[in-house]
Amino acid sequence: MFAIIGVMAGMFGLGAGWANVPVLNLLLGVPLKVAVSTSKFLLSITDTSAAFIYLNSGAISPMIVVSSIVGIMLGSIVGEGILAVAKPKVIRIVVLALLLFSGLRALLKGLGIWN
Amino acid sequence: MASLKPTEEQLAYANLLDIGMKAGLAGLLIAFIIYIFQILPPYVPINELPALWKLNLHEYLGTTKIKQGWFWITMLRYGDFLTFLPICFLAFVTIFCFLRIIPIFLKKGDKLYAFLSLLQALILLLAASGLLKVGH
Repeated sequence: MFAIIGVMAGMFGLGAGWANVPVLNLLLGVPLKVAVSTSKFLLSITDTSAAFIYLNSGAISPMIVVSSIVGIMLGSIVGEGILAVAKPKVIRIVVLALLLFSGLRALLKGLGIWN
Repeated sequence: MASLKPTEEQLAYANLLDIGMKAGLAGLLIAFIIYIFQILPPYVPINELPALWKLNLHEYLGTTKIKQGWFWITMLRYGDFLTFLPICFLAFVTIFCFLRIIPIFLKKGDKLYAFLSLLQALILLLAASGLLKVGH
């Protein structure tokens, strides 16, 4: 299951978090907050190898990459604080909304409508 | 119910990750300021970026004469390549974290976890080596 997530993440460049959380929570029965934290930990490892591969490719544009990294890191710090106090039901709704958006985005990207 | 108290290796990993993340973020901001204000000249002119980011990897490298692998380490006099340094550091933080917890596992006698941590660090080092390629 996670190998399929990896293939899809590699193909669409969406990151695997969108799929890790429902697989951990809905299929494996891991509590939602634990699933979110586990997914983030997994990403820190898998994205590390991807970062090295792209670094070694030599084609990184700091204008895009640095602003993305800084934004995501600062956002993650805020997100961790919210996750600690938020009710699981709220997290579930947010995760579902993000999944819906990610799925729609991937579909439209695949169809060449929203590149 | 199992105890929710974090273990020694979890705390060691988390603490090192936290320090590395903050150091990397600070380095990234400093490098980006150097790049954006052109305190060090960029290798790829900023005004040419919109034309270049449409190219695929092969075309981009051919146009800019950038070589693959760890070549970028010799180009740190340029602002854009300087930003690679904190990105690389951030990527290495995970490896440092795995290496940090190996002695803790060994001290506890958890040889399997120590082996898996070492294996994970080696796999990430393989990715860092540049032996794995991406693109065309």
